[in-house]
Amino acid sequence: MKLSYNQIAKILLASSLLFVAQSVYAGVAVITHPDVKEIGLSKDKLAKIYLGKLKRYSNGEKIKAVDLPTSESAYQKFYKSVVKKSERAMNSHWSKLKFTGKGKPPVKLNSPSEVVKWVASNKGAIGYIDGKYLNKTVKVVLILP
Amino acid sequence: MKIRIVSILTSLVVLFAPSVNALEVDISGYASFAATKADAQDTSGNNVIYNNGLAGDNVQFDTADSILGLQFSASVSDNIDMTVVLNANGAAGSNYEVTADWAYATYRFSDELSLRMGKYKGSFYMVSDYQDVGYAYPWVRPPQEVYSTNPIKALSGLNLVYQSSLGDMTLLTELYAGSGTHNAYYLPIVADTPTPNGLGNSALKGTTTSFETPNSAGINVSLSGDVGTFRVGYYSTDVNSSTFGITEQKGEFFGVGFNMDWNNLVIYSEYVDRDTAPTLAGAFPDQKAYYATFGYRVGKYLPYVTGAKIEKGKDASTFAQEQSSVALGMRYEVSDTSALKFEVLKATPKDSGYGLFYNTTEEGTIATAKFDLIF
Repeated sequence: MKLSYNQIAKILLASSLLFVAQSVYAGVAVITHPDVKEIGLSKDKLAKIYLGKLKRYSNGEKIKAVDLPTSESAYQKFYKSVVKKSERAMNSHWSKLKFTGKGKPPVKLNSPSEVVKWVASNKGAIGYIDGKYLNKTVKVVLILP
Repeated sequence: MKIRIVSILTSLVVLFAPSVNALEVDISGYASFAATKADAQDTSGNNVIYNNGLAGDNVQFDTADSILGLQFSASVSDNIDMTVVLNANGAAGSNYEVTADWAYATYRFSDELSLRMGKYKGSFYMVSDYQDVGYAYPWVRPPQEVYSTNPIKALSGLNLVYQSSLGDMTLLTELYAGSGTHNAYYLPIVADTPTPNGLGNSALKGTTTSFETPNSAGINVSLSGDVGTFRVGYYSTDVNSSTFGITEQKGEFFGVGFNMDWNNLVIYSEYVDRDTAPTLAGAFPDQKAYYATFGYRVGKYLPYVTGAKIEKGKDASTFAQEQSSVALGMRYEVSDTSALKFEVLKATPKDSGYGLFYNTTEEGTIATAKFDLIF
């Protein structure tokens, strides 16, 4: 297919608009699978999810949480403002549960785009990413500025 | 020996690797590398070792503090998980032989209730579940006065775990039943004067003897929140040991403790009470033991001080160990998954009694450097 200059201009305009739309979400976006029905997910509940204390949504659906590598700035922001624990404290927390079979840490993925893909394709999934990686395949439930 | 573990572990990884995708086997692990040195002599000036060769006159790397563990876990179905933890340590009797301290299947009835079937660690102490995971606690090793009172590492049988929320706290109730064969290091108390039942026999000095625990059962309850954890546990078992000529004699073990990690303040404290049948007094005399640790986190540093004591229990057996110790230590966070630790411990046997040193009533010091990591 050949594109006319007009079409190219439209595409460029559309993508720049998309860029503007995305930059609205400059913060960290907490995302879920589109079918997750949870309304008003508080920071408190999120912290419980990421500490392994909350395992189901209000409607009983099983929560499947995913995590980013600690090197991602979204990880730093999320754990600082939501879970309120240092990486050391988190590692210590999970090593006590993991090696005794009493809990499993969230699934660790390698990149924000993997998180989006995973959340979009797993029922009950929840994750967090830098807003710039957002797309329509997932649902935004909370924005952390 | 080390090469042997590496090759065994490698072959296991290879063995598991093809099924990684099909079964999604999670592999994680922990390791500790320690160096210890004791400065301790008996009354004649001979060097003596500490608690089953944990430290001696020479700098030692192969001790119970040097540990390598690998955990394999896989979800077989929505409700069933399989877990195996392979563990090797450098203690005199183990020589890095690989053992499976955990090998069990978990069946989840619900989010709260699950049943573990197989071999699992006994929850006798606050950190007994993760005693081998040095990264998870502040000390170079848990205070030995308390943590040497129950030589049982793992039991085979059933373990019912109930985890529920109490407001912001988590309540864990664990009921377990099973049996096992274990090894106990026999520290001679009055070893040179043999007693009825052949107990205190000098031939057993410093040896490791095997014993069995049929008909074991216990309960462990812990309440944990943001600030810390409080736990209490009780365990009862029959004890058999052909070395000591013991058959089905009762032993009971009680423990209570708490820890907190709050605003940089770190506190751990436990109390345990071992209460055994009179016929067990030579092999496993009644003992009481306790400790308290205070630490304060300053950035990446966690300096701590521990005071610990082991003393005669209910029956005031002459075989009981009696010692107190003070330890000064420091934990340094090398990275978010590893820590370097140093500790100097001074142990003092009570009066003319025996503590955790091999055959001396004199006090001595133990220095330890340790690197702990998880992966």
